[in-house]
Formats: sequence, structure tokens, C-alpha cells
Amino acid sequence: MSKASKAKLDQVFGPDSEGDSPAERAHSSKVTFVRSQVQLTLANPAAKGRQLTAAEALSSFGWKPLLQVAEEGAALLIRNPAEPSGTLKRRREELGLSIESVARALHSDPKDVQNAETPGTKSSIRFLERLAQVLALDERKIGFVSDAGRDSELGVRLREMAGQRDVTGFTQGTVLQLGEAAWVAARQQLLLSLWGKASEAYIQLPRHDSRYAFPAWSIGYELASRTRELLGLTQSEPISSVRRLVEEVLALPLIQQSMDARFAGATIANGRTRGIVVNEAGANENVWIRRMTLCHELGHLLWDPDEKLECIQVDEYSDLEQNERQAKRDPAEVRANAFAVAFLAPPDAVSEMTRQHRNPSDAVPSVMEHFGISATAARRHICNVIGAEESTFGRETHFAQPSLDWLAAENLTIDFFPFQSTPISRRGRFSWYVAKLCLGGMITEDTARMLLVLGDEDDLRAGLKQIVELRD
Amino acid sequence: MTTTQMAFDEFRKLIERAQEPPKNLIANADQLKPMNAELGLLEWVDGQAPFGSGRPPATAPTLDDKACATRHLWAVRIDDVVHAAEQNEFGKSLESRVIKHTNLTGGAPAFAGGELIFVDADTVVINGWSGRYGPKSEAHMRAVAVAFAESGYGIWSMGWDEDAGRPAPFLGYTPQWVSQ
Repeated sequence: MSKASKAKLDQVFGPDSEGDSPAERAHSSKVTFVRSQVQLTLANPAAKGRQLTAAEALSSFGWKPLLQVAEEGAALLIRNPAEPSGTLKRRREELGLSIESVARALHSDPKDVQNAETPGTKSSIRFLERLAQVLALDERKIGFVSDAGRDSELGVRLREMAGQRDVTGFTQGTVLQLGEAAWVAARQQLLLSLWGKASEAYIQLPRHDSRYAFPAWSIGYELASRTRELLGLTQSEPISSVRRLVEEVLALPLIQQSMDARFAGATIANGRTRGIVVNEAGANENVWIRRMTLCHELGHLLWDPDEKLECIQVDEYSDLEQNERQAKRDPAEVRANAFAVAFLAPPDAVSEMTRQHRNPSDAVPSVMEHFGISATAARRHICNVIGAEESTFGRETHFAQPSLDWLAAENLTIDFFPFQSTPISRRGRFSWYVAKLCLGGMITEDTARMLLVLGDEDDLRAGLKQIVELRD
Repeated sequence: MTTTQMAFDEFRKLIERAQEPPKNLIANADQLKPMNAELGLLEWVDGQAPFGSGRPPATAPTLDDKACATRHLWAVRIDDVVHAAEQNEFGKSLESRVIKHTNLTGGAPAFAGGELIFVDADTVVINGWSGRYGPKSEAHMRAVAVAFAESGYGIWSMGWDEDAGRPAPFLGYTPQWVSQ
């Protein structure tokens, strides 16, 4: 971007704005823009399109269109007459989705989707944005940039997974759910950059590790130990909240979804952004199992190289329940399982705890409650660590359930979320960013409503304040 | 009185008052230099296709960058309607390198302004894309398109962009045939 003169900056952002660069000026500007399918102009009472703050407009379209709005009254966002229809159609087909399934996900008429895919047809920008989100595209760029941030590898992988008969339960609905999760992950990163931050992580994320040689479980243990070191955790202390660690310390997108009950979670890469998807349904309802799921996905996210992750790794509960010492399994899964259990309950600490009991099986409840892992995981882990046969432990079934402290620490605040219409996938840290940015005037109330899927009837500001209070 | 005069007088009556170009959109003095016939200013004259005659074409013209490069700017002035190629020799001599709507008016008030592309001698695509004189409502956009059609041309209009609250540009939407 060439250096803009003070006069031009005044013209675009208003003389009351402060700073020497478009980015600085945009952050303090009171000028509001509005966009349609094809153009950007100043907000006006007649316009029904998406209202944008100067900061949003600048981050979406750059300096030139904003200058053109100031000089000519409007800027053309479309460069190719075949857009955005071309991108939308290409993407839907790439994901292997029918027009009907997309329309169902949007609660709209298939004709609306068809129109959006027809060059030259006028659609409301609000519908195009919703459509783009469902297809894991950057809705801000729709029409402006061909492909709108499309990660074609992710699209192809999702379609392939839906087409594989051996992945039972992976339907077009699953593709749409994971597409939404991929969008949330990428959009969360964009919200962060709008805030002027590259990352909020307390530590720098490690380089991926491509070692999967036998025994992969031992590499998983080693990576768990290294992760603890990176996070400044001792090799014996329990992790009080994996949720907080993932969302706040590592600042990674953590997206809750309600998926088929056989799936535990997924690690997903959309462009350069990686995020964790956790299924709220099924065994994850038990907070100790959910902690294990999160750590398994964290193992994939932090350490698997791109060529191993292949954009997405979906894990079934049955995968996570496998003993990491069993050799005949995918080494990436063995490693992630070992990582998860060793990260939550470091082997040396478990070994030490077990030594304090005459009968090793008596250590199971202590390990569970101290480290926050399930009975099945604790029993197996003790056996692996001390080299005992699991069959010698018997089948105790009356173990304690997670205490309220564990539940509170891992709660995703979904129970207390102020807006009923917001999908659970957007109720995590994502909603906190939306609230902070909107209350700080960085995004418009219109954008906040779109991102949280709210109607006009919702008391936006009161709800946003509640979200901030819940998470601060 | 010509057909053009009658058609646009009707339009002027609807609008009631000509609009001044917003001062903040006048970037330099060159943008107020008035054009004349020698500099490429053309008067809109009666066409040969009476409004409502014949059948509308089966397909709308496809507008791309190449077609847009031939566009003219138009303005409904107080007494006449004028147009000029956006990229002409006079425009090249200006600070902005192209003409602006205010070069058609010399900065004086006008009832409406926009852009047009000739499909052929009798058929034109118009829009109201002018920051300085663009129609202010969907009704005004429709009325000016009808006035062009009544002046004896087959008219395709880009219409109104509801989301932007202003006229639609050439690219992105399919133009609509203006009928009675």
C-alpha cells in the first residue's frame, strides 16, 4: 500500500480519525460503509446490505476501494462478472453437496441457492454471506476475490470422507458441520487480526514433528512431556482446565459441534488456521472423556505435519478407546492417544501414585480424580506404566463421577449463553472475540448479529456484555 | 418539441429539483472544466425505436471489461441530455485522466447522471452509477430508464441495488429490459 496523504486519509476516514496510516485511521474512524453483492458505498438509510466499520472494510478490501468510495461515492467490488456465482457453485460441488442439502442447512429455498450460483443474478448479500459460511469460504471476500479464501484441499478431503463407505455416519450433514467448524476456526483468526494481533497465545507453538516410528506411543509420551515444558507445567501437576489451556493459553480455535454420536472430535485445518472440533454428543458428555478427546486432538493439532493431517482428522470414540500400546493401528492415532493420556497424566507421576498403593488397581480412583481422566483410561494407563496386564485389575464399575469443580473448569459456557439462536459452534472463544470487537467499535452491530446468527429482536449489547463477563 | 425533450421533461417534473454535485466529491479543479462538442460532448438525440414497439431481445447483453471500456457518461441537464465517452482525448488531459460527470455539466446542478454502453445504434444499456448525480431511489432510476426508452431506444437498465441503496453498476448483474 502506497503512503496515503493526510488529505486522502481525512477524506476516507474523516478528519476526526487519528494516525498516519490507513490502518491507524480506520481504527479510530466513525465512517461506516455498506456492501452489496457488487459494490461498496457509504452507509445510508436506504441500504439494506452489510454494514461495516472502516476497520472491517479496510481489512476486507484494502485501501483502494475505500479511497474510491470517498472520491466517487462507490467502489465496484466485482472484477469478474462470473463471480460470486462461480466460486459458490465450484465450492459446493467440490464438497460433494447437493443444492437441496445446502438449502436445508440454511433453512432456505433451493431456488435461492440456485440463483446465487447463476451469473448475473441479484442475491442479497446477507444470503450470500450465509451461503459462503456454510461452504467454509471467507464471506467478507465473496465476489471480491475469486475463490474467497477457499481451501480446496479441505473441500476435496471432506468430499472423499463423505464418499468412503467405511466411515459410517459421515454424511453430507457431517460435511456441512465440519465446514461450519472450519469457517469458525478461520474467522476467529480473522477477528484476532482485526484486533491488530497475530496471536494471543502465551507461547509460540512448536514445529510439527514427523516421527511416527515404532513404538509411536513412546514418541507420544515424549511430545506430551515437551508440551508440558513449553506450557511451563511440571511433569506431575494436574491440568485443571484443558478448555482454558486450548482456548486461552494456546489461543487455538475450539469449536463445539453436535455430530453423530460415534464421532468424538476432529482436528481441522482451513488454510493456515488449525482448530479443534469437539462433539458435544456421545461419550464427551462425561467431562473426563471430553478432556481426553481434547488432548487427543491437541496432539494432532500441535504435532502432526500437514501431510499427515491432510486438512482434517476425524476421530471416533472407538479410536480413542484403543490402547496406545497396540501395534496394529495407524501410528498417528497411536501417537495422539499416547500424547493425550501422558499429557493429562504424566507416566512418572502415575507410577509414583501407584506405588503408594499395595494393590495397583486401588490407584485407579486416585489417578482419575487427581488428573481428571476416565476409569477406563486410568486403568489402562496404570497398566501400561507399571507393565501390568489389564485383565489382572478386575472390573470395578462403581468409580466416582467428575466433581462439579471439573465440570465448571471445562464448561464451554454454553449453558449460560445469552442468545438462543447462536449455533453451539459459535458459542466458544469466537463469541468472546465478536463481543469484544463489537463493544469496542471495531465491528458493527450488524456484523456481530451476522456472526452470532441473531435476529433484530435480541438485546445485542446486553448479551455481548454478558459474554465478555462470562469469559473474562 | 423532440421526443427526447418530451420524455426527459416528464422525468424532470417527477424529480422536481436538479441536484448540486457534492462538494466533497470534487477532487480537483479539472473535474469542473465544462466540455463542449469540440471536446467530445454529445447531445442525446431521438432514436428510431418507439417505446414499446417490437419484442424484447431474447437474451440480455453480456457486459465485461471490454464492453465497459466503451462506456459513456450521461447527464440529464436543466435543458438537455448529454453524454460523452469516459475515456477520450479531453479526459486524458485532465488530472484524473478520465472525464467525470461534472465535466458534462461544468459543476452545475443536474437531474440525474449515470453511464451507458451502446449495444448497437438503437439499443443501449444504462445505469445510474454517478456519485455526483446518481438517481436517489429505485423509482427515480426506473423513471430515467423509461425516459431513455421513450426517447426512441431499446433500453436495458442495470436497475437499483437495494443492498447498497444506490443504482447498480454494469458488472455483476444481468440488465433488465425496460418495457412499458
